[in-house]
Amino acid sequence: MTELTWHDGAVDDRGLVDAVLGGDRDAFRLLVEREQATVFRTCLRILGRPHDAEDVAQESFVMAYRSLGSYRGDGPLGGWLMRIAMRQAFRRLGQRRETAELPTEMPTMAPGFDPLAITLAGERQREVRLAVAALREPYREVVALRFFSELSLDEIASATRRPLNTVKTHLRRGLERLRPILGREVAA
Amino acid sequence: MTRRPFRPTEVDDFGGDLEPTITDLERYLADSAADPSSGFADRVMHEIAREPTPRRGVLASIITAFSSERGRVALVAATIAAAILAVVAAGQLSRLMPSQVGGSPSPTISTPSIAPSVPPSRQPSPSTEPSAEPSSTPSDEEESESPRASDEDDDSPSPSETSGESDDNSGPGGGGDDGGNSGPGGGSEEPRAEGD
Repeated sequence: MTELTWHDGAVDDRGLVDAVLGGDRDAFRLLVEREQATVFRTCLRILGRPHDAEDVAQESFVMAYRSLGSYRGDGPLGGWLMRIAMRQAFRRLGQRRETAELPTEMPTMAPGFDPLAITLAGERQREVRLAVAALREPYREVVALRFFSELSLDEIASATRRPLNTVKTHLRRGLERLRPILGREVAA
Repeated sequence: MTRRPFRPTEVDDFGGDLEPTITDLERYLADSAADPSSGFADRVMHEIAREPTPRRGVLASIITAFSSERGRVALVAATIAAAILAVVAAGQLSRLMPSQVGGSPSPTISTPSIAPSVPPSRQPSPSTEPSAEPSSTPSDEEESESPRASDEDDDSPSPSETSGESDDNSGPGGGGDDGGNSGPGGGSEEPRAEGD
């Protein structure tokens, strides 16, 4: 089977959903294989821990499968799936206790290994994650879809069924709210 | 490697003051571009194999969601939560009922006010009996007093008007009513949020 990309014209979202609703589970596998990387990355960028991210990504696919019948087809299936994953990940983040942690795989024997730099980079990533997570809706959703799920503004507008200008406004306001937090942390 | 279907320049017109923030987020995006472990799709499909085939429509998808193993657990949890909410709502309603019908039970408070008002009206009546025996003049006076007493009786409804005041007191009860309404309303919203 050839690997299909996000914008592959050969894969019609509506047709894929119809096939799954008709009982073709292999059609859903196509969706999983197509979206697994982006769904996982979205969860990883929100949660910061690969194990948690994989867990939530799997839950998100199962949840999407269950509620596939409610997919209206008025936006990209990937965007719809990404919103499910994002909500699940933020929910998990809210449930767990946040602690600073070191990267799980530290190349201790690598030349030029700088544990301080790695730790600082990890801490910086954690600060970015928590700053975005602390945003109010709808700013958090738009910022996360743009920078964590890598959706374009057009894709966000279509996935959230909001006008493009509204999405731009939400993104701008979200970034304006992040600016003092991230700026302060850089200065610190 | 990230997907990046978007134009990175599409946020350029946001202004230079947001540039550092965008750069921070872009850097984070690039640093966290990992892939799931091998066999991830197989694990997902293994889970999917245990699920019933989804059905079309929002209601059908809800039914499908509840027909799975986890869904059944969620259904039981939702039922318990609904039962608890119902008990809480019933408790609040029962607390609100007396204050809400505050006007009607208040006559029970006004009955003592009626009880004293009735005896004065009876006292003059024996006084009229003796008045019939000796002379009419004192009886007239007493009779003239008795209407006063009866006037007081007429005034005695004024305590029952105090029961009207108790209606006013039921006003705050009405306020409590609002609070009570807001309680279950807020309760009913939470499960919706959970449903999302």
